[in-house]
Amino acid sequence: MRRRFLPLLVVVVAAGLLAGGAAAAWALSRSGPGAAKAKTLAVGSQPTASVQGHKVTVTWTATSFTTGGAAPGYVIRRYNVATGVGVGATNGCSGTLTVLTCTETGVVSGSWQYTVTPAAGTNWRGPESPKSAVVVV
Amino acid sequence: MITIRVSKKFFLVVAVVIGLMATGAIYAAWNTSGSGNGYAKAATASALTIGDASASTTADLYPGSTGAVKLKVTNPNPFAVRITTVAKQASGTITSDKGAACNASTGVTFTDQTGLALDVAGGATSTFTLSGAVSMTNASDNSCQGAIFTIPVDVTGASN
Repeated sequence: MRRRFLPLLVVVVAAGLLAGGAAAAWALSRSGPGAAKAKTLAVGSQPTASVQGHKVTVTWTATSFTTGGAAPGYVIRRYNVATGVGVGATNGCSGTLTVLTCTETGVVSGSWQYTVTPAAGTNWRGPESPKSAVVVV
Repeated sequence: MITIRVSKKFFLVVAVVIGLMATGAIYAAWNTSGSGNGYAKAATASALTIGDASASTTADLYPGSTGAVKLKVTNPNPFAVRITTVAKQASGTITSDKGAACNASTGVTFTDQTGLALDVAGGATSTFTLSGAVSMTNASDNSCQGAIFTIPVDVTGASN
Protein backbone atom coordinates (compact mmCIF):
# COMPACT_ATOMS: atom_id res chain seq x y z
CA MET A 1 0.00 0.00 0.00
CA ARG A 2 2.34 2.66 -1.14
CA ARG A 3 3.14 4.17 -4.51
CA ARG A 4 1.00 1.78 -6.46
CA PHE A 5 -2.04 3.67 -5.26
CA LEU A 6 -0.67 7.05 -6.28
CA PRO A 7 -2.35 6.92 -9.72
CA LEU A 8 -5.64 6.15 -8.01
CA LEU A 9 -5.22 9.18 -5.80
CA VAL A 10 -4.58 11.35 -8.84
CA VAL A 11 -7.69 10.04 -10.57
CA VAL A 12 -9.92 10.72 -7.58
CA VAL A 13 -8.62 14.24 -7.12
CA ALA A 14 -9.02 14.97 -10.83
CA ALA A 15 -12.58 13.71 -10.73
CA GLY A 16 -13.27 16.01 -7.86
CA LEU A 17 -11.86 18.95 -9.74
CA LEU A 18 -13.95 18.18 -12.80
CA ALA A 19 -17.08 17.85 -10.72
CA GLY A 20 -16.29 21.16 -9.11
CA GLY A 21 -15.87 22.81 -12.49
CA ALA A 22 -19.28 21.63 -13.57
CA ALA A 23 -20.88 22.90 -10.41
CA ALA A 24 -19.25 26.28 -10.95
CA ALA A 25 -20.95 26.91 -14.33
CA TRP A 26 -23.40 29.79 -13.96
CA ALA A 27 -26.78 29.43 -15.51
CA LEU A 28 -27.81 32.87 -16.73
CA SER A 29 -31.08 34.08 -18.11
CA ARG A 30 -32.34 37.53 -18.97
CA SER A 31 -35.32 39.14 -20.62
CA GLY A 32 -35.02 41.96 -23.11
CA PRO A 33 -35.79 43.20 -26.58
CA GLY A 34 -34.75 41.74 -29.88
CA ALA A 35 -35.22 43.90 -32.96
CA ALA A 36 -36.29 43.35 -36.56
CA LYS A 37 -37.16 45.72 -39.37
CA ALA A 38 -39.64 45.74 -42.23
CA LYS A 39 -39.06 46.79 -45.78
CA THR A 40 -40.79 49.66 -47.58
CA LEU A 41 -42.34 49.52 -51.03
CA ALA A 42 -41.03 52.05 -53.52
CA VAL A 43 -43.20 54.05 -55.89
CA GLY A 44 -44.64 52.22 -58.87
CA SER A 45 -43.19 52.85 -62.31
CA GLN A 46 -45.25 54.80 -64.82
CA PRO A 47 -46.99 52.35 -67.15
CA THR A 48 -47.57 52.51 -70.85
CA ALA A 49 -50.97 51.75 -72.34
CA SER A 50 -52.02 50.77 -75.83
CA VAL A 51 -55.51 50.40 -77.27
CA GLN A 52 -57.03 47.85 -79.58
CA GLY A 53 -60.76 48.24 -79.83
CA HIS A 54 -62.12 48.00 -76.29
CA LYS A 55 -59.00 46.28 -75.04
CA VAL A 56 -56.20 48.19 -73.33
CA THR A 57 -52.84 46.57 -72.74
CA VAL A 58 -50.92 48.02 -69.81
CA THR A 59 -47.20 47.41 -69.36
CA TRP A 60 -44.83 48.51 -66.59
CA THR A 61 -41.40 47.79 -65.21
CA ALA A 62 -40.69 46.07 -61.92
CA THR A 63 -40.61 48.02 -58.70
CA SER A 64 -38.27 47.22 -55.86
CA PHE A 65 -38.48 47.73 -52.15
CA THR A 66 -36.48 50.75 -51.12
CA THR A 67 -33.86 48.42 -49.66
CA GLY A 68 -33.86 46.07 -52.63
CA GLY A 69 -35.82 43.06 -53.77
CA ALA A 70 -38.68 43.05 -56.22
CA ALA A 71 -42.17 43.91 -55.14
CA PRO A 72 -44.30 40.75 -54.97
CA GLY A 73 -47.26 42.23 -56.80
CA TYR A 74 -48.98 45.15 -58.48
CA VAL A 75 -52.44 46.69 -58.48
CA ILE A 76 -53.69 48.52 -61.58
CA ARG A 77 -56.11 51.46 -61.58
CA ARG A 78 -57.83 53.24 -64.43
CA TYR A 79 -58.70 56.94 -64.32
CA ASN A 80 -61.37 58.74 -66.31
CA VAL A 81 -59.62 61.75 -67.81
CA ALA A 82 -62.83 63.77 -67.95
CA THR A 83 -63.80 63.31 -64.30
CA GLY A 84 -60.52 62.36 -62.66
CA VAL A 85 -62.24 59.44 -60.94
CA GLY A 86 -60.23 56.26 -60.65
CA VAL A 87 -61.40 52.67 -60.37
CA GLY A 88 -59.67 49.35 -60.04
CA ALA A 89 -58.94 47.86 -63.42
CA THR A 90 -61.15 44.90 -64.32
CA ASN A 91 -61.29 41.99 -66.76
CA GLY A 92 -57.71 40.80 -67.11
CA CYS A 93 -56.12 43.48 -64.96
CA SER A 94 -58.01 43.05 -61.69
CA GLY A 95 -56.67 42.14 -58.28
CA THR A 96 -53.01 41.82 -57.38
CA LEU A 97 -50.89 40.85 -60.36
CA THR A 98 -47.51 39.16 -60.25
CA VAL A 99 -46.69 39.91 -63.88
CA LEU A 100 -45.55 43.11 -65.61
CA THR A 101 -48.29 43.41 -68.21
CA CYS A 102 -52.00 42.85 -68.46
CA THR A 103 -54.81 43.48 -70.91
CA GLU A 104 -58.08 44.89 -69.69
CA THR A 105 -60.98 43.92 -71.89
CA GLY A 106 -64.40 45.48 -72.22
CA VAL A 107 -63.21 48.99 -71.48
CA VAL A 108 -66.00 51.45 -72.14
CA SER A 109 -65.51 54.26 -74.59
CA GLY A 110 -63.74 57.31 -73.23
CA SER A 111 -60.33 58.72 -72.41
CA TRP A 112 -58.38 56.83 -69.80
CA GLN A 113 -55.11 56.76 -67.89
CA TYR A 114 -53.62 53.89 -65.91
CA THR A 115 -51.46 53.65 -62.80
CA VAL A 116 -49.50 50.90 -61.10
CA THR A 117 -49.31 50.46 -57.33
CA PRO A 118 -46.76 48.01 -55.86
CA ALA A 119 -48.32 45.53 -53.45
CA ALA A 120 -47.23 42.98 -50.86
CA GLY A 121 -49.54 40.74 -48.92
CA THR A 122 -53.14 41.69 -48.31
CA ASN A 123 -52.53 45.21 -47.09
CA TRP A 124 -49.16 46.60 -48.03
CA ARG A 125 -49.30 49.14 -50.82
CA GLY A 126 -46.56 51.38 -52.16
CA PRO A 127 -46.97 54.84 -53.61
CA GLU A 128 -49.00 54.90 -56.79
CA SER A 129 -47.13 55.50 -60.03
CA PRO A 130 -47.57 58.55 -62.21
CA LYS A 131 -50.43 58.15 -64.66
CA SER A 132 -49.83 56.75 -68.11
CA ALA A 133 -50.36 58.76 -71.24
CA VAL A 134 -54.01 59.17 -72.17
CA VAL A 135 -55.54 56.41 -74.25
CA VAL A 136 -58.82 56.86 -76.11
CA VAL A 137 -61.10 53.85 -76.38
CA MET B 1 13.81 7.31 5.99
CA ILE B 2 10.57 6.48 7.73
CA THR B 3 8.01 4.39 5.91
CA ILE B 4 4.38 4.82 6.95
CA ARG B 5 2.11 1.96 6.12
CA VAL B 6 -1.59 2.60 5.71
CA SER B 7 -4.40 0.32 4.78
CA LYS B 8 -5.98 0.41 1.32
CA LYS B 9 -9.32 1.41 2.84
CA PHE B 10 -7.80 4.31 4.71
CA PHE B 11 -5.99 5.46 1.61
CA LEU B 12 -9.20 5.52 -0.44
CA VAL B 13 -11.04 7.49 2.21
CA VAL B 14 -8.28 10.07 2.29
CA ALA B 15 -8.27 10.31 -1.50
CA VAL B 16 -12.01 10.86 -1.67
CA VAL B 17 -11.84 13.54 1.01
CA ILE B 18 -9.10 15.37 -0.87
CA GLY B 19 -11.17 15.20 -4.02
CA LEU B 20 -14.21 16.64 -2.33
CA MET B 21 -12.14 19.38 -0.77
CA ALA B 22 -10.87 20.35 -4.21
CA THR B 23 -14.45 20.47 -5.45
CA GLY B 24 -15.53 22.73 -2.64
CA ALA B 25 -12.64 25.06 -3.13
CA ILE B 26 -13.49 25.65 -6.77
CA TYR B 27 -17.20 25.94 -6.17
CA ALA B 28 -16.55 28.52 -3.50
CA ALA B 29 -14.67 30.58 -6.04
CA TRP B 30 -17.90 31.09 -8.01
CA ASN B 31 -20.60 31.01 -5.47
CA THR B 32 -21.10 33.81 -3.01
CA SER B 33 -22.88 31.50 -0.65
CA GLY B 34 -20.33 28.79 -0.84
CA SER B 35 -17.63 28.10 1.71
CA GLY B 36 -14.06 28.99 0.94
CA ASN B 37 -13.05 31.92 3.07
CA GLY B 38 -9.64 32.00 1.50
CA TYR B 39 -11.00 33.19 -1.82
CA ALA B 40 -11.37 36.91 -1.38
CA LYS B 41 -12.01 37.38 -5.11
CA ALA B 42 -14.91 34.99 -5.25
CA ALA B 43 -17.00 36.00 -8.27
CA THR B 44 -20.62 36.96 -8.22
CA ALA B 45 -22.44 36.42 -11.49
CA SER B 46 -24.10 39.60 -12.66
CA ALA B 47 -27.13 39.60 -14.87
CA LEU B 48 -26.67 40.01 -18.58
CA THR B 49 -28.02 43.16 -20.16
CA ILE B 50 -30.12 43.04 -23.31
CA GLY B 51 -29.79 46.39 -25.04
CA ASP B 52 -31.52 48.19 -27.87
CA ALA B 53 -30.35 46.63 -31.13
CA SER B 54 -32.70 48.57 -33.39
CA ALA B 55 -29.88 50.65 -34.86
CA SER B 56 -28.25 47.55 -36.28
CA THR B 57 -31.33 46.09 -37.93
CA THR B 58 -31.56 45.59 -41.66
CA ALA B 59 -34.92 45.97 -43.36
CA ASP B 60 -35.73 42.51 -44.67
CA LEU B 61 -39.28 41.73 -43.58
CA TYR B 62 -42.33 41.98 -45.79
CA PRO B 63 -45.56 40.00 -45.99
CA GLY B 64 -44.83 36.37 -46.74
CA SER B 65 -41.14 36.57 -45.89
CA THR B 66 -38.79 35.69 -43.05
CA GLY B 67 -36.22 38.00 -41.56
CA ALA B 68 -33.47 38.37 -39.02
CA VAL B 69 -33.59 39.46 -35.42
CA LYS B 70 -30.80 41.49 -33.87
CA LEU B 71 -29.87 40.89 -30.25
CA LYS B 72 -27.45 43.09 -28.33
CA VAL B 73 -26.06 41.45 -25.22
CA THR B 74 -23.72 42.90 -22.62
CA ASN B 75 -21.91 40.55 -20.29
CA PRO B 76 -20.68 42.46 -17.23
CA ASN B 77 -19.01 39.39 -15.76
CA PRO B 78 -15.29 38.69 -15.91
CA PHE B 79 -15.98 35.34 -17.52
CA ALA B 80 -17.35 34.47 -20.93
CA VAL B 81 -20.98 33.51 -21.38
CA ARG B 82 -22.52 31.28 -24.03
CA ILE B 83 -26.13 31.94 -24.96
CA THR B 84 -27.89 28.78 -26.01
CA THR B 85 -31.56 29.70 -26.20
CA VAL B 86 -33.53 32.77 -27.24
CA ALA B 87 -37.27 32.40 -26.82
CA LYS B 88 -40.14 34.83 -27.07
CA GLN B 89 -41.49 35.80 -23.69
CA ALA B 90 -44.66 33.86 -23.08
CA SER B 91 -46.66 36.94 -22.16
CA GLY B 92 -44.78 39.36 -24.35
CA THR B 93 -46.25 41.19 -27.31
CA ILE B 94 -44.38 42.20 -30.43
CA THR B 95 -44.72 45.92 -30.98
CA SER B 96 -43.52 48.43 -33.54
CA ASP B 97 -42.44 52.04 -33.75
CA LYS B 98 -45.34 52.78 -36.12
CA GLY B 99 -48.13 53.07 -33.59
CA ALA B 100 -51.45 51.45 -32.91
CA ALA B 101 -52.51 50.49 -36.42
CA CYS B 102 -49.37 48.48 -37.05
CA ASN B 103 -49.27 47.10 -33.52
CA ALA B 104 -52.81 45.79 -33.95
CA SER B 105 -51.66 43.63 -36.84
CA THR B 106 -47.91 43.40 -37.17
CA GLY B 107 -48.15 39.94 -38.72
CA VAL B 108 -44.79 39.23 -37.13
CA THR B 109 -44.07 36.00 -35.29
CA PHE B 110 -40.85 34.88 -33.62
CA THR B 111 -39.58 31.31 -33.78
CA ASP B 112 -37.81 30.25 -30.60
CA GLN B 113 -34.13 29.59 -31.17
CA THR B 114 -32.44 26.66 -29.42
CA GLY B 115 -29.07 24.98 -29.67
CA LEU B 116 -27.33 28.30 -30.17
CA ALA B 117 -23.70 29.01 -29.37
CA LEU B 118 -23.58 32.79 -29.06
CA ASP B 119 -20.48 33.67 -27.06
CA VAL B 120 -20.07 36.95 -25.24
CA ALA B 121 -16.64 37.57 -23.80
CA GLY B 122 -16.29 38.80 -20.27
CA GLY B 123 -16.97 42.53 -20.03
CA ALA B 124 -17.99 42.70 -23.67
CA THR B 125 -21.04 43.72 -25.67
CA SER B 126 -21.93 41.69 -28.72
CA THR B 127 -24.67 42.06 -31.27
CA PHE B 128 -25.97 38.84 -32.77
CA THR B 129 -28.02 38.15 -35.86
CA LEU B 130 -30.65 35.44 -35.59
CA SER B 131 -31.30 34.76 -39.25
CA GLY B 132 -34.78 33.66 -40.18
CA ALA B 133 -36.02 34.01 -36.62
CA VAL B 134 -39.03 36.12 -37.55
CA SER B 135 -41.66 35.82 -40.22
CA MET B 136 -44.40 38.13 -41.42
CA THR B 137 -47.84 37.07 -42.59
CA ASN B 138 -49.84 38.62 -45.39
CA ALA B 139 -52.07 40.19 -42.76
CA SER B 140 -49.46 42.75 -41.75
CA ASP B 141 -50.95 46.22 -41.74
CA ASN B 142 -49.90 48.69 -44.42
CA SER B 143 -48.60 51.05 -41.76
CA CYS B 144 -45.97 48.45 -40.81
CA GLN B 145 -43.86 49.33 -43.83
CA GLY B 146 -40.44 50.40 -42.61
CA ALA B 147 -41.32 49.55 -39.03
CA ILE B 148 -38.81 48.48 -36.43
CA PHE B 149 -40.28 45.71 -34.33
CA THR B 150 -39.45 45.12 -30.70
CA ILE B 151 -39.60 41.45 -29.80
CA PRO B 152 -39.59 40.59 -26.09
CA VAL B 153 -37.37 37.57 -25.59
CA ASP B 154 -35.88 35.47 -22.82
CA VAL B 155 -32.20 34.74 -23.24
CA THR B 156 -30.68 31.71 -21.56
CA GLY B 157 -27.04 30.80 -21.30
CA ALA B 158 -24.24 29.78 -18.99
CA SER B 159 -20.73 30.71 -18.10
CA ASN B 160 -18.46 29.36 -20.73
